[in-house]
Amino acid sequence: MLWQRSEHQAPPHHVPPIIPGPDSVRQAALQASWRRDRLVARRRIAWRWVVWYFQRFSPHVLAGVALLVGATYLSGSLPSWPDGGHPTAGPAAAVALTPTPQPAAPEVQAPEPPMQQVEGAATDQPMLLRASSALEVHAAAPSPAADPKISPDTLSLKPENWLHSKEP
Amino acid sequence: MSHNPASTRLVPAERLSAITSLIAEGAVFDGNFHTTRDQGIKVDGQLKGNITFETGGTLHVGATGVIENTRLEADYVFIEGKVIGTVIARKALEITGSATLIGDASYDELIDMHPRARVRGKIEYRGDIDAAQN
Repeated sequence: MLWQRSEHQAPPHHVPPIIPGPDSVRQAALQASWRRDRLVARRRIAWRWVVWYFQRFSPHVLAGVALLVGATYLSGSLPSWPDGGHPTAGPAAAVALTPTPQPAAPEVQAPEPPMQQVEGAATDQPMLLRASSALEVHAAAPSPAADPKISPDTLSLKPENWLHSKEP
Repeated sequence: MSHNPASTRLVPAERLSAITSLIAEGAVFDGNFHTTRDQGIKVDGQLKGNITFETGGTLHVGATGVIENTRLEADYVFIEGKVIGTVIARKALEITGSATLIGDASYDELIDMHPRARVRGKIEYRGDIDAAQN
């Protein structure tokens, strides 16, 4: 009949709303709180570790970076060799290998020192000082052969080739 | 959904699950909390006052929780947030790496402190320190 309704058109039964119990609410709130705690705590601990590592190792890192920058700057400012190669000896060796100036002429050689001069005392003097003083004497004063007023006894310097003469 | 509380080392998980009161994040509670029953409270918001459990009791300060000007007393105290005041744990005190404690803390039995925890105050063992040790 028309007044009869089908099952689909039947009025819905009154379903009581599902009201969560207090325990389920409490558990849900606690679980949400734990989840939030976990995220916040993890982020905070990670940040604390990062800060600690930075404070602990930042001086070392900065020192390393400064060394690298300094080394790079110095290597870029060093003069390059003309042939593009590298020196085989250091500056000190190069100075040592520089040939000593030879005496200008045989006539400028001073005579042998007097007999009272001790041979050991002469060799105890620094070689560089002897050579430089000899050079100054030869450069400033005229040679004894040219100036006869200068006595040989006043010359306490040995000739330039004195050392070379004793070499084997 | 997570069904486990925060990973603890001393405080039993069932104690944290049995917490009955919650101060939510963003909430501000100004006053004292006192009970004679073995209950628990979790603080995720801000609390200004004392918390006292005369018997039993579990106090969980969440990572977002801040308790100021306080005197906390409970059997189990689990701190993940910030506490300014005095803490008394009658059984176990656990301070995690995200925690900040400014004040004195005392415990009777167990203590666990994360190396990244920030504590400024005195830690005192209230038990018998001269008891026979194994």
